Amino acid sequence: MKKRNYIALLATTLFCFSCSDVLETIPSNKLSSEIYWKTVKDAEYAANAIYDKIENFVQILEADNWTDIAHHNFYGGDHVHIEKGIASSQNGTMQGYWAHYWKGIRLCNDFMANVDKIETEETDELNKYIGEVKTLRAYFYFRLASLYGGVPLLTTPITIEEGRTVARDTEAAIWKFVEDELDEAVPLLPWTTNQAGRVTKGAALAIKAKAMLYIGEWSKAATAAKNIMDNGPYDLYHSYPGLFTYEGENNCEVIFGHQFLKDTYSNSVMHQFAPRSLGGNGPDVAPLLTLVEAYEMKDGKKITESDDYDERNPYNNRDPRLSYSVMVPGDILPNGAIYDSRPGSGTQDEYATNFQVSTTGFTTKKYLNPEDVGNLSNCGINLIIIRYAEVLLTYAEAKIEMNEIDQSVVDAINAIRERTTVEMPPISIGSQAEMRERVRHERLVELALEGVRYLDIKRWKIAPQACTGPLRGMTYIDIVTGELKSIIDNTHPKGFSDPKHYYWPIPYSERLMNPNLEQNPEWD
Amino acid sequence: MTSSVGVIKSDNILTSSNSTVKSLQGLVPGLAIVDRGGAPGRNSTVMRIRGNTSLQDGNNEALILVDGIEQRIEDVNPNDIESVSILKDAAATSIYGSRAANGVIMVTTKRATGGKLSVNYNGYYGFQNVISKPKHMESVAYMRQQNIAHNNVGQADAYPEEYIQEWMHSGDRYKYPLVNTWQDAVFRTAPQQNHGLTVSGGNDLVKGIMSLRYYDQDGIIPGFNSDIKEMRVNTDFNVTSKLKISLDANYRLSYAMEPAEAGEIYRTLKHAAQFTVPQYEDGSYGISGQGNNPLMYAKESGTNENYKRLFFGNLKADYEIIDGLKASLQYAYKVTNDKDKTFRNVYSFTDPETNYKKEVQENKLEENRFDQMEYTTNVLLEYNKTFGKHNLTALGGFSRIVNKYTEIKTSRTGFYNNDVTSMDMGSTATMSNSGFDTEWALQSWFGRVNYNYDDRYLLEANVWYDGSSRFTGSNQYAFFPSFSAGWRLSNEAFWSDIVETVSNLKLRASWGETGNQSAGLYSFYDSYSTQKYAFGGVLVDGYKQTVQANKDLKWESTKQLNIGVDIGLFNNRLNFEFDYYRKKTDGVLLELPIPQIVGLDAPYQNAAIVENKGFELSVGYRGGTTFKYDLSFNISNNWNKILDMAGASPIIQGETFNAYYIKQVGSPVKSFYGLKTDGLFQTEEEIANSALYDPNTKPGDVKYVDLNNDGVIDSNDFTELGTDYPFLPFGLSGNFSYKNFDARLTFQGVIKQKARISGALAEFGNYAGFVLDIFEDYWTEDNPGARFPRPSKSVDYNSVMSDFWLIDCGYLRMKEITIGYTIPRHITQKWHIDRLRVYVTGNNLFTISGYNEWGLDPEMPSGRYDYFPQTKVYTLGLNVTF
Repeated sequence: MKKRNYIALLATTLFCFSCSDVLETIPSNKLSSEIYWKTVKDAEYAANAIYDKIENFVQILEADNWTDIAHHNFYGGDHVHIEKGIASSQNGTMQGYWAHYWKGIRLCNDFMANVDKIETEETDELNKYIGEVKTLRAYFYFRLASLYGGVPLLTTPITIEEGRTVARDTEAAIWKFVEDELDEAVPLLPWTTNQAGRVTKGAALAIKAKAMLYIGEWSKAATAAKNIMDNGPYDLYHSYPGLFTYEGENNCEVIFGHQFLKDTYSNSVMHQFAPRSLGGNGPDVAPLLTLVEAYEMKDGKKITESDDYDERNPYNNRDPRLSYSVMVPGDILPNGAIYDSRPGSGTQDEYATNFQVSTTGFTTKKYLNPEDVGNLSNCGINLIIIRYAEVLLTYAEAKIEMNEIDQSVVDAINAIRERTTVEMPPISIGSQAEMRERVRHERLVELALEGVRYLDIKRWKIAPQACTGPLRGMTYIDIVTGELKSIIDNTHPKGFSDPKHYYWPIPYSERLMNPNLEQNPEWD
Repeated sequence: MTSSVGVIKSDNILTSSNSTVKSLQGLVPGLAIVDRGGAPGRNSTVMRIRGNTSLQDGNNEALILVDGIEQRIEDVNPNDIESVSILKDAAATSIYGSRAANGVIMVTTKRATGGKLSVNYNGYYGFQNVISKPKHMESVAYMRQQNIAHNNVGQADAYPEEYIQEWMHSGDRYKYPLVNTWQDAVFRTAPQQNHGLTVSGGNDLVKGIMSLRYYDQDGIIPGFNSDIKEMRVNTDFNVTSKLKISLDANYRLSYAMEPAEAGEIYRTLKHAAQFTVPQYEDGSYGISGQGNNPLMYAKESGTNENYKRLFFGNLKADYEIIDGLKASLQYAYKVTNDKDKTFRNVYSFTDPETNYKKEVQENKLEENRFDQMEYTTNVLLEYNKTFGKHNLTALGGFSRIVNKYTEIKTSRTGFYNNDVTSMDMGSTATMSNSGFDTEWALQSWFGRVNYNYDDRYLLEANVWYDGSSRFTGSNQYAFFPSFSAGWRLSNEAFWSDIVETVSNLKLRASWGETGNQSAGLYSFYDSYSTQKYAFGGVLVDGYKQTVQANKDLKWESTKQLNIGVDIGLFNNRLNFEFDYYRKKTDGVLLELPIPQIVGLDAPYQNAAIVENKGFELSVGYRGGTTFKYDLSFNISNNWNKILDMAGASPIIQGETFNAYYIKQVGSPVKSFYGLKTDGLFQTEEEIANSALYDPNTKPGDVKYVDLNNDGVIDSNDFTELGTDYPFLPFGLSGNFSYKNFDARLTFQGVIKQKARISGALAEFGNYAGFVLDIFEDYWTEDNPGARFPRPSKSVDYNSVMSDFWLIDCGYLRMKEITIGYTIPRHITQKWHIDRLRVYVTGNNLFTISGYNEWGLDPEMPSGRYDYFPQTKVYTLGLNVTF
């Protein structure tokens, strides 16, 4: 009996002293950074992940709402405070852009800090990825500088403590970095790729041209643009409306953008930008009358100068790009129905019947396709951020500003005007002031509602005049009385104060954690 | 007993409720249960013991143990429960040291008591109805209010007077529908039933109890139902005089079904579906301008089916080594296999009158599997010795829990029709899948010493040494001690004179430290996760680091002090139990925000300190001879405060148009954060002289308070507005019996609690939402003393997060009233029935509350109130013992 008891006791106590590596657990769905960075494939995958940080439709297209050509359709919220000029440094939209770009920069810095660990003989391939990441990093810094001015110039991954103390660099230093990074990236990149959407030599040069144009470095901008025009594989697409369709994806004009894929890596552009009757949220962007009035008549004259203009049928005989860009009453919707926002029309898009209809009567047309009508939040259409037309316009504008106005400038602008499906009358050489006005006009109508306008009105220093006053919506013939009426909203006037609003504030929460980040003038 | 424990015996556990948790409401002070209703099979309850210690919502739940092993309490068969113990202070919970910082709810299942075979049947049949039906403003009044809303923003009447006249004089409610009749169209009476059979018996050598259960519940909204099939066997064998073995097995199959777009049903009952006919005579659906119809969503959107299978096996052996020394070995194995299958239908409906259309162009099947296996091993050595008046118990042991979890998700779209719901039949072009495995483990050594002198002086000490796989390095193990002492004055010699009156007086105190391993798994691991992208229509993979790892993660630890007194008077007919406690939790996990220029998401860090203190009081009175009564009342309150946030204060979360919360030093863990208001503006001069939220403010709009007097209303004027944790929750219950009748009455309530209402309820018609009848008191020039602001179409600045939309009131709810009758034994014995009792029960029959005018249930969480609603239930039941 006793022996049995002691055995039992022993067994019990022995059981207690068991190994404790049951507590060492390793995740099966994550990779340790220690085992990564061995082959070129690792570099490829790391580079792939960074592309996701290129802006999406909302971040690019809704920037037009802060300009004279459109406004944010929903009156509440942080986004609208920006266009009304009443945002504070706690504005959520502004904070969102800040956080977004820094995440992209972190991934680039992580790549650059680790890529040297890879030993390979495929140096060209590896250099290609290095070129892609350098370009993307420069692109993110370009965006940050254009919005906030000088920011900390970080080229390696930083710790939390460093994040709490690092100071802002000068704006000039950031622009210099952008230029140098892109110059280093260009030789590493090929002109073409068999993976449409990967950064190519053309993309790096196009970003450089865009950045140099923004800061007024005309010569550098023209040179970069000319490089693309002379040596790149790009051309204007044969159809202006086709640019924004599924059929036109990755065509010869697309240089840089954000790729999407239905079902697996989709976007919800229809849900966010289509007219209400399509069943989505209602359009986030409501184009203003200023944009519609800007388009010339088919004969090349402004509407104020042409006898052809009929204010009762304002959309007849206009630059076709108007009808390719802006949805007006009478147009056909992606689902085949007729868009009619006129008061009294009885449609689901009728003005002022619901908070989701357009507050100006207009909506955008670009990127809204019949294929997406059934599933508005599952769209695969790609976002174009830079296309060849912009390169031509950049070249022309830079040359004009340098007063080197020659036939090549006129050819560049005319190529855009004479594109098939547009076929507007060509322009001829004029004075610098005339040409400046022409190229700015062309930029407005060619790139309308593609998210480009905000940086343009800032660099041309016309933002205060552009962003002022009541919101002008469409004109229409009253269904009952036949009178010509117009829609004006005086309750949410735009506002832009010089010089404060030329820079966005460093986010309030960021400065709480890092007081070394000096705030931009006049911001709280 | 020197620690703070509340015990609920099986008779008090409501056996006619569809949830064990709901039946615990109001019975034990310090245990706050908020019952959020919930669809059949998906009950939603929040249980807190003595307040919130963690800043993460999900980490404040009490540990629930059924027969010593962690389980979900929601589905435990109430008929199987012997008792429920609520362990509140550190000394009581220290048995479960490392997981016990939030308190422990210990459920013990019934075991056979031996003797002759006894067969029990418990069954009931009941009907459920929705409790709260908010009342909509009358249709014509609504139309006029909408006209004013449109006029106020410079738009024409939405409903011209001729149209209103047409509407009033027409009897055709298809062409001129009522504004909102969804509650009547969607809600219906629904049955539920439960059948339980228990057989138990045994002798000195073998005892066993077997129980079977079938439960079925339909939902008060079409498309919802659930059922449970369950079997349990608990057996005890006395193998020898020294060796006892018991083996328990429990198998449960639960099923719950709801419409695929259940969320849309709740949302569109109150939003974006005005003036819509629920269903026409020929069966076609009305569709609102925004494409909604909650009835259509309930019936046509598809189904979500959830299957849960639980197997639980428990093997225990007790061996008496020598006299007083016992060894105990327990091995428990728990397996859960959950399957979730959601099929979203393709459909298209057009409103025959208005031609509004709702179309879903593609169907989709998502099928997910979640499997979990948990093994628990417990080894215990217990020594018990009494010498004279001294009684000593010493206990030492070891415990290990290993948990493995697997998840796999798959989906496809493009099925031929809505009937072919097998994954194979979906389009391969859209197939997508994901999955992962995780593992965690817990290993502990513990010891306890219990000393009792003459049942007058009681002492207990515990120590717990715990290791968790969630932490690494030197943080992996932690030490949790606790002590408690008690003095039963009433057993003292000097007390013998008073013992007739004060039959029991015990003072007790305890102090201890418990832990919470609430960190996410693998948080200390520097890792890359996947990121996909597409190039030219081809999906590619990528890897990136998203979160900064934290190798210094460790336990959140709570130190708790508890002082209590138990008083019994008049031979324990009148009892008081009072506890005062103070808990301080250190190292509370906090996602300390990090500068965004770091470019990574912030990791959790042990940084904050949270304090909870409070009291609990319960009073019981029983007596009677022929008419017996047993009354009890309890009340408690918890004061919660964040003491330190390592400089991360404040953290603001939420949205201004929903609920906005702040976590800051000096405030309770989850406090509302918003603007203060001061009524409505009456005149233009007032407006001109005040700071404004929106430049377009007009008379009749809400007046916000410029707290810092800087002339603007902005985020600097936001302030803490209180918490939604209930203030002074209380419960009152009574059990009565008279001859063969028995009755039970339970009330539960709260003296005050706050809730933020949002969505349609705070928009009062400014958007296309439900408009309560109370909103008819809106501001106009003729009604300046109105309660609500002037309606203005598409204007939201009157609905932002502020104290205007915080309801602050209490409630009293009659949770249960039961009347039962036991047929006299001499009659039932003729049929060999030992006991036959019939009863009727009503649950949630009435509620007195300030929420009633909003048509809201006081237990619902803040927000848009778009959840499956609470129900009241009428039940008829039968207990038979053979």
